[in-house]
Amino acid sequence: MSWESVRDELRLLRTTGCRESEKVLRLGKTLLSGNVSKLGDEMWTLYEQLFIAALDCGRQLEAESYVVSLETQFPDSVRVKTLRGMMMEAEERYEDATAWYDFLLESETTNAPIRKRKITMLITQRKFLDAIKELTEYLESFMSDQEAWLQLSELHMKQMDYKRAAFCVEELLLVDTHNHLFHQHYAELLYTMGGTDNLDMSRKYFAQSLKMNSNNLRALYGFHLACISLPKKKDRDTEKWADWAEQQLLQKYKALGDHNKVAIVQEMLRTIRQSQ
Amino acid sequence: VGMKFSLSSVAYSKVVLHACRYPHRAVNGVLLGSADEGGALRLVDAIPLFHFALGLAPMLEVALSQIEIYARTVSLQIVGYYQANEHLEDSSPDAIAYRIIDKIRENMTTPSSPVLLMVHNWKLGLTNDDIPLKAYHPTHEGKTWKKQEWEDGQLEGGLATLRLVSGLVSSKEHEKLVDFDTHLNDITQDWLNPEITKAVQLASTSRE
Repeated sequence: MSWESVRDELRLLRTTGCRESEKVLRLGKTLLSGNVSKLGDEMWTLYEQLFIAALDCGRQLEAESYVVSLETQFPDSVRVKTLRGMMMEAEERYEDATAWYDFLLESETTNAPIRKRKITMLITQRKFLDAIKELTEYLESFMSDQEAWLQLSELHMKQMDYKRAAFCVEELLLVDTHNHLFHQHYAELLYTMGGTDNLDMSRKYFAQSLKMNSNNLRALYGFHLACISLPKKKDRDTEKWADWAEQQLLQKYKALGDHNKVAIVQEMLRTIRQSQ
Repeated sequence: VGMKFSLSSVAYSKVVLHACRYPHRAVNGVLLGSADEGGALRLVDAIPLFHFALGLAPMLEVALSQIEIYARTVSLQIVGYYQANEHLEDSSPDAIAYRIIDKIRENMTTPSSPVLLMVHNWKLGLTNDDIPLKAYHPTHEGKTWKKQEWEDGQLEGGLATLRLVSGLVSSKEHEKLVDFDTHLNDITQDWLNPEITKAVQLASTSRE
């Protein structure tokens, strides 16, 4: 891999927020062993990324070296001070970390990342109800924080409180109205909650998701399931829609050239129809 | 004492590789196998399911349906379930695990009960010589699940299998593990993980 493509991949991992820490450390090692000055100021963003990845992989010493370099370069930076707090978290010094974050919050009352670190610590310590309470409060001030809504949704799902989880995804849909993944996820929650009204809504949301991205396989499967599960009504030609979905599914699997999988999907579609 | 069952090296490998693939997430999957005349289960393969939102119904239905159909083609059925929780210190079955395994038990056609395996997060390490899994069997009324101890010979290949899988993780083979979520994101990804199956079978037979 060329130096540039390694740098680009690390950039992509930063923007997408994918958690692939082992990979990040491997790529980072490559980049740092080359001409570091080519990075310019990006080096510091890279250090931050590598710091977090090192913590994730349990490489405390490596993480320490990155945060020390950052502290030396940016001695007054709250962002770097937050990283120092994460170091304490990794060492399971939760009281110290909380005190550190509270201290930072005194002069940075609206600092979202620090507030989220405190909530993360609650999750780490499995204090789920406290985390839900704090996160809900946080979202009253930071309503468009998608990551936070997703996290809250997950916490509710863990408690199998699908209704509240669905509410969080509704908020996500308000923030990002054209996101096919959110529509599909919302539909999955509705389907899980069950009942004819929810099933019908889930059908609509799966359909919306497909309209936005015809390649969303979950939405296609979900749409099919919802149509099959709904009783046929005058203005609801679920059988026709299910037929369409089946065709789409088979088409996709046939394009793979894997006869076994086609046969499995074909049989599944037949079985599901019969069971209704 | 608990239930009599054996765990193949292929099934064991896929469970551990799945947990290692997503160390920061909860993961789950089903176990395929068959029962002998005495009712003892042979767990032959594992099919990894999800690494996000383990308890949502639609994709679970789709996955279980397809896996059941596949299992029949190789004279097996879904006879167990595994899960690895998100937190390092949490290796106990939760409501989602119980709900799914109850569903599995409803659909089983053997006289035996299904096996519930939980990944023992603490024991998941490259140099550990203990099986990093906890096995549970249902009690008589089937209302609760009890942990049972591993016996010699239950894991095919024993220590050699543990070492084999540690080796696979060292060479980053877990990064290639495909679960149903991966397949749903990219239809070309195969949840049967044939390459891993081949690699483990090859390594196991070359031992004999």
